[in-house]
Amino acid sequence: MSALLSGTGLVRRFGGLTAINDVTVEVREGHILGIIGPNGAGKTTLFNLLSGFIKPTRGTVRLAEHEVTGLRPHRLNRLGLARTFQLVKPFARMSVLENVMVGSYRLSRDSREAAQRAREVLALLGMEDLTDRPARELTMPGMKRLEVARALATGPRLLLLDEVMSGLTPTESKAMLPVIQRIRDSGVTILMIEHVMHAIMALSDRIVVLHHGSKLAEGSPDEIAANPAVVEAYLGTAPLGR
Amino acid sequence: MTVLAEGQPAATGRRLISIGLPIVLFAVAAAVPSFVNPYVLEIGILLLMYAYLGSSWDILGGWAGQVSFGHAAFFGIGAYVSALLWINMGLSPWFGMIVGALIASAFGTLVAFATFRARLRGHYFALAMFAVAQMLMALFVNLKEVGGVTIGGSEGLQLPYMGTDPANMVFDGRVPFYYILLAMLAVVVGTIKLISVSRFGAYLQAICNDEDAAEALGVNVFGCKVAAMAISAFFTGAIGAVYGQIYLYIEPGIVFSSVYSIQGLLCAVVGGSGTVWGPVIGALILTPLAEISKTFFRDLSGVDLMIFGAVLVIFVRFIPQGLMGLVLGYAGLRRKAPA
Amino acid sequence: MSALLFEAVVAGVLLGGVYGLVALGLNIIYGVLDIINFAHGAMMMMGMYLTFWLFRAWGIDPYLSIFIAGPVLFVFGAVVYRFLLDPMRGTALQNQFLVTLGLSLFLTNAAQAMFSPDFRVLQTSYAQEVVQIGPAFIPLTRIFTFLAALAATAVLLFIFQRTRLGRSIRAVAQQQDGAALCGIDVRHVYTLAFAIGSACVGVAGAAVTPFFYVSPTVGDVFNIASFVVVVLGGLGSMSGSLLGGLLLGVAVAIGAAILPGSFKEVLMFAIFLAVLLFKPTGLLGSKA
Repeated sequence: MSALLSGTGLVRRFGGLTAINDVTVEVREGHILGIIGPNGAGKTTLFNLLSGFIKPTRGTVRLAEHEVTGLRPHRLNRLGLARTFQLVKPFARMSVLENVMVGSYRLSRDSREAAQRAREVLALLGMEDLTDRPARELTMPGMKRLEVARALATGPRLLLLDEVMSGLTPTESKAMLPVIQRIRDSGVTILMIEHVMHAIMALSDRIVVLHHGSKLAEGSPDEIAANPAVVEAYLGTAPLGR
Repeated sequence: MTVLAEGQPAATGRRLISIGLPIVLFAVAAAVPSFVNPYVLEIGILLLMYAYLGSSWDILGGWAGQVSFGHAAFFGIGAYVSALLWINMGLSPWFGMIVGALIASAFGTLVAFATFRARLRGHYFALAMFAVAQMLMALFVNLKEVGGVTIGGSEGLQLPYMGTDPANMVFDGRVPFYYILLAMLAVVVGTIKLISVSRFGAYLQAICNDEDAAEALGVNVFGCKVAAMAISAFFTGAIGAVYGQIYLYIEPGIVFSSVYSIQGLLCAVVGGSGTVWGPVIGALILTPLAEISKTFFRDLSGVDLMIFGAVLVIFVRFIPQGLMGLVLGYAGLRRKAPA
Repeated sequence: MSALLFEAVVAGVLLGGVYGLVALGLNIIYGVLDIINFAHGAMMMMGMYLTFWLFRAWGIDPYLSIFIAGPVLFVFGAVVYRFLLDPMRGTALQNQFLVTLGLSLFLTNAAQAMFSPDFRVLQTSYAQEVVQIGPAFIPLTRIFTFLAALAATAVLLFIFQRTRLGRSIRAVAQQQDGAALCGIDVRHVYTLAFAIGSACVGVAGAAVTPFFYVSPTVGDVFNIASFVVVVLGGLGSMSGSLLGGLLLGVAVAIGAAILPGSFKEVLMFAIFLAVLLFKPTGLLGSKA
C-alpha cells in the first residue's frame, strides 16, 4: 500500500520556539492514522502544516503524486484533502444544508446537485433532521458533526479530523465512532488527532505519538499501548481508555 | 425524494412570489412618473440612485462581508471617465458609462489585490478604502490638466449641453433618467438574485461567515473577494457616469465625497445587508426620511445626514440584520435552500 | 536648509505634537478595546466648538478651556461607550466601527445644523505674537499648544506607566479574561479607556483653537491625521503615537512647502495606505 499523504522532515519554528522538530508521517491509503500526544506536543501545528494553513520552516509535504508543500488550503482541498477544525467554525448565519453545500459545490457548480449531495452527506452523518436549522442553533455534537459533514461533502480522498470528539460527553463520542468507521468504509483515508483515547485506540490502524514537537513512537495501537517510552512520556499524564 | 414532493406546492407558490412580486414592483415603479410632479420625481430619482448604490455596495459589503468606506472612489472614476471621454473624444456617454464602469472595476481589482493580499480585514479594510477615495478626491482637486487634457481641478468639469440629445444621454427633463436608473437597478438586483442562488453566492456568504473554514472547503477566498470587488466597483462606476449626465456637471468634492460611500452602506445596513432586496428597502425608507427632514427643518443644512447618522447607530446597535433580516424572521438565513 | 523650509519643519514639529496627542487618544481606545473610533475627529470638533463658544460668551481663554473640554469629552466618551458600544461587545467588531461612523456623521451634521457650515476663527489678544527660533518666526500660540499637547501626553504616559489605574487598563488590553479573573471590572476599565481617549481630543481641540479655524468638518483633518499617525507609529504603541505625530507633522509641513496646491493631502493618504499595506505593525507597533 502506498502513502496518500506524507510529511517528510517537517520543521516549524515560531520565533525561537520549535513547535515541530523533524517529524515524518505517512498516511497509507484506506487507513486511519491517529496522532496523539500530551497538550502542547505540536499536534495542531502538525495538522496545520499538513493542511496548508501554515508553511513549514523545513521539510516537504506530498499528497498522492503531488508535491504540495506551502500550497494554500483551498488548492489542497481541490487535490482531495479536507479538514475539520478543533474549535468549530460553522457558517453561523447559514443553515446546516447551506453549510454543507459550500463543501459539495466543490463537486458540482449546479445548486440542485450540490444540495442533493449535501443531503446525502447529512444522511450519512445522521443529521437529516437538522437540514434547515440555522447552524448557530446546533449543539456542540451537532457542530462537530457539521464540521465533518462539510469536509466530507467536498469529496476528499483524505480527511483530517481535528479532535472531533473533544468536548463531547462519553455517550456522544461513542456515537461518533461508527460515523467515522462508515466514512473510512466508504473509501476515505483518515488522519485524526484525538484526546479521547478509547476512540483513537479503537479506530486507528496506526498511531503516531508526538512529544515536545518530535515523533516519540509509531506503531499499531497495541504496540503503542505497550511502548514504555510512550507510557512514561504520555500515559502518566492522561491515562489510557478514560 | 420525499422532501421534494412535499415541498412542491409551497415551492411553486414561493416561486410565483419571487418572480411575480418584483415584476409588479417594477411595473408600479415604471408607472410613477405619469402620476407625480417634478418634485416627487426628483425624489424618485434619488431613491433609485441610492437603492442602486446600496445594492452595488452590498455585493462586496454584505455578501462578501468586506465593509468598504470608500465606494465613492468608483463612483467618481465612472463619472470622470465618461465625462472626459465625451468632452475630449466625443464618445457617447452610453459607451462612456461602460468604459467608466470597466475602469472603475479594473481599479477596484487593483485595490482588492493590494488590500486582500496584505490581509486587510474588518476596519482596516474599511479604512483603507476610505483612504483610497479620499486620496482620489485630493488628487482630482489638484489636477487642473494632464497632457493637454483639462481635468478641471477643484472647479470640476462642465459637460456640454446643446439641447436634447438622446444619443449622448442628454434629455430635457428628468423622466428619461428615472427610467435609465430604474433599468439599471433592475439589472443590479437581477445580478444579485443570480448570485444569491449560485455557487459564487454561497462562497461569498461562507467567506463572510468564516474565511478559514471557507478556505478549508476549497473556496478560493482571495479570488472570490477580488471578484466581488470587481463586480461591485463595476456597477458603482456605471452610475457615476449617469450622475454626470443628470447634472451635466461634476466636481471632485462631490463625486468622490464620502456621502456616496456612506449612502450605499446605509441603505444596505438599514434594509438588510447580504439580502437581495435589503438595499432597495433601505433606500425606500431612507430617501423619504431625508426629504421629510429637509422639508421640516427647512433652513438647517445637514439635518438629513444627521438623521442618517442616528439611523445608522440605531440600526447597527439594535437591528444589525436590517429590516429584511427582521422580516425574514429567521434572522440572517438569507436563502431558501433549493429543494 | 532655507529659512522657509526650516520654518515649515518647526511648524510641522509643533503641530505634530497635537497629532500625537489626538492619535494617542485613538490608540488608547484601539489598544484596549480593538475599536477604531471613526468619530474621533468629530469629538475633537466638539471640543473646538465648546472652546470657541466659551471664549465668545464669557471670554474664557482657550488654554483654560483645556480643563473644561477635557472633562466634558471624558464624560461624553464614557456615555458613548456605556450606552452604544459596550452592549455590542462580543458581536462583530465591524459593527462597533459602523456605530462610530454613524456617530461621526451625526455629530458633524448636528454641528452643521446648529452652527452653520461657516468657518469661525477665535481671536485672542496674543494671537499675532511671534517668537524667533533661528531664522524662523513662529507664532506664540503654536508653541503654547505644542507644550500643552506634550504636557497632556506626559500626564497620560505617567498614568499608564505608574498608576494602579494605568496598570489595570494595560492588563485588560493584554488579557481580558485574565484581568477579569484578577478581580478587575473589565467593563469599568473599558469605559475609562474610551473616556480617556475621548478626553485627549477634548484637550487637543481646546489647545488648537487659538490658531486653527473651527467648522463642523474640521474634525476630518485630525481624524485622518490620527489614523495615519496610529498606523505609522503602530497600532497599540503609545510612544509610537508621539513619534508618528511628529513625523507626520514634519512630512506634511515639508510636503506643503514643496508640493503644489493641496497635494500634501494626497501625500498623507499615500503614507497611510503604504504603511497599511506594507508594514501594518507600524514603526514601533507590536500588535499585528
